Amino acid sequence: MGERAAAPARRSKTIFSGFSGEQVMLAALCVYVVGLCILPLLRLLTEIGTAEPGTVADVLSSRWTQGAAWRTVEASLGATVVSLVLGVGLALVLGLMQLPGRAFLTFLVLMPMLVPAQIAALAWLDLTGPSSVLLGAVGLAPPPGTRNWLYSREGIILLMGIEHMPIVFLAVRAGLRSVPADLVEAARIAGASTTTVISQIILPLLRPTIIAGGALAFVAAVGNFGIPAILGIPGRYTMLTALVYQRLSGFGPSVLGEVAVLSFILALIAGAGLAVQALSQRRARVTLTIVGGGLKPTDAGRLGLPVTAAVLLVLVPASILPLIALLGTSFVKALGVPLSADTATFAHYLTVWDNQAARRAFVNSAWLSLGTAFVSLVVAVPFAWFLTSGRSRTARLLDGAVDAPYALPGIVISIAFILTFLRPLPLLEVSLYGTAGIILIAYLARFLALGVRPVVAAFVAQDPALDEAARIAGAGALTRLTRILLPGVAPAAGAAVLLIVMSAYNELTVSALLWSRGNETVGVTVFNLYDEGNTTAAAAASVLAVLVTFVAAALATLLARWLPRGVLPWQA
Amino acid sequence: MASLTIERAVKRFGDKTVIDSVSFHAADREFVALLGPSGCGKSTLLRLVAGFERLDGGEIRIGGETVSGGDVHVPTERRRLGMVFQSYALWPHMNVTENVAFALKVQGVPPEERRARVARALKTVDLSDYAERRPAELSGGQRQRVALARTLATEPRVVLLDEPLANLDANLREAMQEEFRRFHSESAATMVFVTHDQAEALALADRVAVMMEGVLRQVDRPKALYDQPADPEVARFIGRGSILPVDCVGVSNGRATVDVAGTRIGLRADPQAVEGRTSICVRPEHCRVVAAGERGEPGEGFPARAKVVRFTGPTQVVTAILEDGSETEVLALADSDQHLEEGAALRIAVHDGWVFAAR
Repeated sequence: MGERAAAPARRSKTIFSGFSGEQVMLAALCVYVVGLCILPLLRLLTEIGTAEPGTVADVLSSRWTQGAAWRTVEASLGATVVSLVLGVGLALVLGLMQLPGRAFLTFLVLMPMLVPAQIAALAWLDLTGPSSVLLGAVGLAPPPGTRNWLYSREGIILLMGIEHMPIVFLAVRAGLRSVPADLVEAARIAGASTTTVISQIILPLLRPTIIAGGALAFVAAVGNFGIPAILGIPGRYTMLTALVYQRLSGFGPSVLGEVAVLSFILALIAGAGLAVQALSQRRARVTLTIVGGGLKPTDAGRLGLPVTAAVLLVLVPASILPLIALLGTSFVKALGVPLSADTATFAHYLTVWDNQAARRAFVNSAWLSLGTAFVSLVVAVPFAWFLTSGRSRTARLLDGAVDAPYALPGIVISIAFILTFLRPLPLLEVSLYGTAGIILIAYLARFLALGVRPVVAAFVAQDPALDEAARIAGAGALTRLTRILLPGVAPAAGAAVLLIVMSAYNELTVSALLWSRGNETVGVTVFNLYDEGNTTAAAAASVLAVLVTFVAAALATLLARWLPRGVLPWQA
Repeated sequence: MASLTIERAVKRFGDKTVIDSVSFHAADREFVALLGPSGCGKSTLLRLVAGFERLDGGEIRIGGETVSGGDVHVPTERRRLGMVFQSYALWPHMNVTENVAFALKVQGVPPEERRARVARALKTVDLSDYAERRPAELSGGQRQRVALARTLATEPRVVLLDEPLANLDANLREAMQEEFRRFHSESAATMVFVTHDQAEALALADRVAVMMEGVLRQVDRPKALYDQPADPEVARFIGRGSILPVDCVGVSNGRATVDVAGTRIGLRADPQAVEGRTSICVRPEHCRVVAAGERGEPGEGFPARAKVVRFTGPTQVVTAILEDGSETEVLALADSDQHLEEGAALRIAVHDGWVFAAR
């Protein structure tokens, strides 16, 4: 025991004894994490604490605020139920039965994760609206002028539920794998049928896991901006994220005090969900300590084909049809015109290309996401190393801070960053607000966790004996760092870059409040094109944006072989 | 309350045959141990009986009813079996009573009777005071006793035990062996006990089935298994038997005369043993070093050379090399005061041994 605990400390000291800068490095990391992840959130708190008396009370007692807060809770809870039903059901079916084409089915389940919320909302509108290419082709499109039923509470609940279903699915699937197989076998021996095994053994064992997954889906729904903005604003069902956006884009920085209070309420609701998640996660770890092998899917037998068909019946409309509709809309000559080889046109893609703001946006999002990924990686590798080597207590204290900007709603992060960086920077005398700089640093804060987690997992998975063996072999500190330690975490670092690019490239919640003319992002462009009524161009831009995400996901999957388990959320 | 019959069972994983035409019968109420080195297929055979795996050939009958074979595959939950797992497999979200009562509840036993049977089962394993505890609050031995009570309460036809003692420390293991014997006499069930520990198998079972590489090598009472092993590999696995190459020069009435390194000895023989090249199994306790150095007279044992001498207290254990050019090792005992040097020539007298049928 004592020896094991001492070993990493010994190792770390010698590796960096060559660099006198170890303390400097740690200090710089602390400044980075505190400055990006803690200070802006504290600034949000002080803004509320020092607000003019009356402002807070006014905002809290306003009918708008209360209505939006209630709708946020209501729709998020509803969406959580949808996510839970779909996520738990699909995880049970795919986790317990060996269905034909299981890998493909899993890909379909996780697809909503790869499609950003605002694009999902557009795709669904394209699918179900009067000018739907797909429904039109089979003569089922609603008559022109019909109001799309998705512009409603139910529409928001359904779409957010589908969008966040993969979160529940992944949690439950991981939980299933940690259920010892012999607990199920013992129940079978006792005479329990499949339904009894599921209801009396598997579901009770997974209860904390399911609650934790549901809580995460709830937090995601609370922070969702794309769906409440695109469906809720026209549908007169304004939720908090959309209200903050409306107030700020309508009245500018003068209402900052007010939206600070709104985003604080948003953070509190999300915080409640996160607390539930943390508690359940801990309980899940206590109840399931695996002894024998984990639960594996068993032969589905004759049920295989019918069950696969049933799963496809859910997944094709949920995951594929909206994207096909989106694709269709992007090629259709004009809304309402049926799509055929003769009528198909590239015109809308050219429109996007000719639109200067849109073209800028694709470039902006590219360098913003790549820049965020590389800076985050440069920070994440040493930070993860300090964290896992057990060397620095400071690093462990900061660990939770890294997660905060990613876990909290993106709107909260943007408000915190506006508050912090609205005033000119000291010495430089320039304000970051209104520049691309504020988007970049907000991204750096928001996506740091995506860089740190995979690298931490890789360091944890690395056998300390590798470094010790290199030492025995006579390798010096620098040699070991570059030849042993870093190659081991390189694949995880690569995956981290791709995860960040995937998330940041199509991001909307943060940039929706931070963009300015000349500094548009892809998410903002899609949203604005739609807002201007240019549905077909919005569809074309969406198709291009989703393509980027899919390519990044495919590249990350190619890396999977060298990655520790669990780094890529969609890996089966 | 049922016999178990396995006929020419075959199980393949991919193109690897893990159970190769195994036939085996356990009589009603018999306690049979399934013994073999790890990876020999014994657990797979047990899982086939349980119905967790499907047969690729052959048949399994419980109490005359075919449960696996041909197109028949009765699902596990309808086989009315009991099973004790290596990991105990207690449901962590249920307390002791709920764990024991689960099977009865599933089978629709009325609450009154259920309570009585759970109480009786817990009393049998001496855990009545722990009825409200969760598995996590119990020690390893207590958990295994809950697992036994859970099985006992259901009054199963056949009880399968999958290395149930492997996770316990040595002291507890002996106490639990006692518990299993009591369990067997009280439950009236046919029991199949899988283990890789030969001492456990020999001590507990009415009969022991030795399995190697997916094939049943021998099924016999423990004493017979030890005295009359079917082949050299079984002999090596059960007890520490030395296998020596010999020439069989005469067979009569279940005995044979063999030539070991130029010395003739009479031993018990396999009924199928014939004259010619074969091998014998001799146990260390039947081999004595009778003379060290060159003084031994021919006929007083076969010649060998000491390789390693280990002092164990009451005796010395000698690993010797047979002096016939074959480099075969043989284990023998010597008095503790006998002076033996490694590398020295010596003679070993054999009191008892077993002549294999030539293969």
